[in-house]
Amino acid sequence: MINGAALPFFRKISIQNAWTLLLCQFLSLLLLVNELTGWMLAIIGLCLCWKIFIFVKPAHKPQRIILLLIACSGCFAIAITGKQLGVLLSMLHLLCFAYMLKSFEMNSRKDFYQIILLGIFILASVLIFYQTLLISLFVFSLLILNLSILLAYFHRTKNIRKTLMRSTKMVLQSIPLAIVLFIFFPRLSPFWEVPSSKSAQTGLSESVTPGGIAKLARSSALAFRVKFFTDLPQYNQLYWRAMVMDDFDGRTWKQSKIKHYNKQKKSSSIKGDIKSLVGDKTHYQVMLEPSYQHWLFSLAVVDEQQLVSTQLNILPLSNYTIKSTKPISQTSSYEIFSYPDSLLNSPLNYNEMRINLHIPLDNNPKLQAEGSRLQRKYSDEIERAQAILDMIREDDFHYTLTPPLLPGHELDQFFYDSKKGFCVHYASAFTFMMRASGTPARLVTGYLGGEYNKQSGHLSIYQYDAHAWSEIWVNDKGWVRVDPTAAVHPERVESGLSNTMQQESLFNNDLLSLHRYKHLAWINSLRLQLDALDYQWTRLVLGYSSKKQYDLVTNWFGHFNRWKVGGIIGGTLVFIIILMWLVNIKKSQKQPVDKWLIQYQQVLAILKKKGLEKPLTMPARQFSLVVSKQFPLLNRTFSDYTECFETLMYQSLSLTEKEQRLSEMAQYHKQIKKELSKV
Amino acid sequence: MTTFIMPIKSMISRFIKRRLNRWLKRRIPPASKHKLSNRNIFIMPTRFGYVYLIFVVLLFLLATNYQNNVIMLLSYLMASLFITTMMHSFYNLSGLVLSANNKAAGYAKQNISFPINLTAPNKRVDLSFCFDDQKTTHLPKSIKKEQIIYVSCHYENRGVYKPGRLKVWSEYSFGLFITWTRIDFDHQCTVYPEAITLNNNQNSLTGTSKNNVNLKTTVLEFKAGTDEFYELKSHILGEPLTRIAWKQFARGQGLLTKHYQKNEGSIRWLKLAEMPNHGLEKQLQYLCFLVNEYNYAGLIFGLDLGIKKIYPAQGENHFKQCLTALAIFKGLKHD
Repeated sequence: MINGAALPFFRKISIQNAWTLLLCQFLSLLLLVNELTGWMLAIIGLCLCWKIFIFVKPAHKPQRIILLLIACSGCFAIAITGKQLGVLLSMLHLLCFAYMLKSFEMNSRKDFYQIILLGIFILASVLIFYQTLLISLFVFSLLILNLSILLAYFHRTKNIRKTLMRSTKMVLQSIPLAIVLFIFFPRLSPFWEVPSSKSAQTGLSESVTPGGIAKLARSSALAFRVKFFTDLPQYNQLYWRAMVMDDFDGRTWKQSKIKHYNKQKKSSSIKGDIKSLVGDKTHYQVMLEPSYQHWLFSLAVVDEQQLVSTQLNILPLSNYTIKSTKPISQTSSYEIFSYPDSLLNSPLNYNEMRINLHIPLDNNPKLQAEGSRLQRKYSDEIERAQAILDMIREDDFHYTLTPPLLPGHELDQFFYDSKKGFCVHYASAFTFMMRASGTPARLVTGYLGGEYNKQSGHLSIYQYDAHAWSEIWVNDKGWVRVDPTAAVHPERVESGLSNTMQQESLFNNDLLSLHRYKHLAWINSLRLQLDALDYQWTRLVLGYSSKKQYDLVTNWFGHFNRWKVGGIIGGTLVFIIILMWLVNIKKSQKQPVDKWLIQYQQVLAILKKKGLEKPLTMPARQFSLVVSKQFPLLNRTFSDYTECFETLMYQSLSLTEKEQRLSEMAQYHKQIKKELSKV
Repeated sequence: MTTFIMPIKSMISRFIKRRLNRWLKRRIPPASKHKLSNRNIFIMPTRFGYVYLIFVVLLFLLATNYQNNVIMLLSYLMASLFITTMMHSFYNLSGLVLSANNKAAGYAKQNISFPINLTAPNKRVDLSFCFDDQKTTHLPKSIKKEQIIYVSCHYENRGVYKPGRLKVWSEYSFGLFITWTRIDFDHQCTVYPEAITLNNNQNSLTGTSKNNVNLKTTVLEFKAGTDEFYELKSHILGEPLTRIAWKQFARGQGLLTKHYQKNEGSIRWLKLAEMPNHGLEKQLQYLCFLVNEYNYAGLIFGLDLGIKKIYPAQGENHFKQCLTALAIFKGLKHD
């Protein structure tokens, strides 16, 4: 049936639409700026400029051969860098490159359709990298823009706002069914392995040097969020453990490699030791932002048997941290139970003891000497630790995010000369001294505290909450947490970095971040509100899983059943179609009423209230005489009003005349209303 | 191989077409007025529509493999949009009222346009109209009230044709669906022969009658001095529009008709037998030209096709009658 003349023929897209398309391309690719390499960005930029040039001077159309050349060389470049970029990024580069080049070649409808679909695919790929509410909203509005461009091809109008409104309306009408599908459509497990994004790792690094975390403290990016199902612990108990650093080479703290060998055995041995979990339990859900690292965050001590996650495969380690088998490349969540009162007392073997006591021989001699002095003076580990903390507390130490650079024996210089440092300095020096005094000690990195959002009742932990502290081995208690930072800067441990300190630290970057303006109350409350919204988005949309789907269906409709799900989706579909049908019938029945008629009828309604009703058959002119008899005050205005009404109603007028009459009539309308209200 | 398949293929398609037409005849019987509704609107995804669906499935796979809920939401939204678009494309056509006169006429090898009256309850967009295998008329946007659309036909040869059903279609909103209808106005199209100029130099008209000389001079004079009219008289209804003095009309002097001096000449017969012997079709084409010229000049003339004779007269009706006779002329039987 679709034959002959019905074959799609191509009408050139309007110049306005072409500009909109260019804008849309620009905005879509802008979202991927962080993912694309410099040379690709340069090519895209050049293409955009070229495109603008063509718009301004349409004579300079690119030749096919040149385009072909560019396309080939671009693909070649992508192929060369492919290894370095990885599969996903290579594909992304290819996609963006094609998207940009395609716009030079629009000779048929097929080309036009292709560019729209490519654009939408690029939007989808943006979502692989970012899933925050803000970016998602931006992506969805770009989808609408893409659809508007498509719509403008069929609905030619100069008014771009109208097209936008139309496509927005259609998207809004599609939302209910989309939501029903999202909630009820069966969720499948991945069909095959897909290349994951290999973006730059963010957050804590796997090795720490004094001053390393200070960089992180300047970032106000979100690290993760926590929702507590039990009571919220005290701020100073929120030590989010991520990594345990026990390998010290004199300058850098690392995780020892040996751990990996016996972790499997260890973890199974801990499993048998459930009795060690005592006291109240804390139940919470952690929602991670992508960090492209393996480390997960938890409060000690985690109950390994109740780790719940649909997205991650979680591995408990013998040092009481947990780890994901795959890097976290998208927002994911897990639920855990922790027992804060339990001890970290899985016994140390010889090897572990050796690692946790190790210090390079002639490293930081002054601290080593101090350590041996302490060993002689105090027999008890706790007393030794207390002595060091007292030293820090009583001496003239400063807590700063901008410590001076220290060449040579860094810790010695810090402890005896500069006395200015960040948490890693204090934790390093402390751990070092404890080891020197013969106590097994290790450095732990992670985050401390978090910002409690009252609106949604969750805790947001930002990068500037990054922290480092120590754990020392006490014979009958196991690993005991000691935070030397508390000795120098108690506020940090009790309530987080002070505002002024944050201001100072955030000064250089994150100019746009709302965190910079925390001191302005309204901006802060706005920020918290946005954070709460984003949290809900993360919880409800990003965290939606097949388990939640199952719970929801069984909750609402009883026993989970395939045909029930089908029924719900089908029912919604039918319901929506019927609804749209009814709305359309109503719309087409409604005759468009002219403005003046509405106005006139309003006045008639007022008059009716005053006791004067116009008989249906009486002409307007005659009625105006009746009115002037009844309300002599209205005499002139009403007759003029009637005249206006009659000309508009019965004469064919030009547009300007019409407008003039309309404005006149509106004036009279106001006057009459005013005078009638007086009567 | 293809030599075997092709006829079978065409036979099958013809068979399907016939069955379809029969079904359509029952479904949408011929009428002079059609209101578009779910009774006569058809809707199908276009090729792009199918590609779009595949694309949505692709997005779904992407979302599932990455376990990415936002991409999943995007794919569901696009799937849902498919349904919404279907409804909107249907509403774009439904409610339209089309009416038309079922007769039209024109010359062969020229576009003959059929006026179609379109009434839309509200603004509709991207409407296309065409007859089978004919040119398409595209209406980017309809106005709220009544409007006339001209759908053209093009025929190579004279005769009476039935252009068949009028196809009205639209790809609004996103080109995902084609919504169409095929309505039957029982259109009939009379196609006059193409008017071919009679070349005077090679004009060896058989028969040396006085009519012939007159004819020759008329044509010549007509060519030489069209502007040399005799007088202006006020326009009488039925006089050819081509002779109205538009300049005077523009000045506001009212409708005047140019009258030529030769106007009141003797009665002429245009005879098929007297046309140069270049075959029947050619002769008819010459006659068509002459009928036009005579009518333009406002002469009184008759048409003699051997078996059919139209007696000398003047005016639009006579002109139409002559042309129709030329269009449907079957040929001389007794020759």
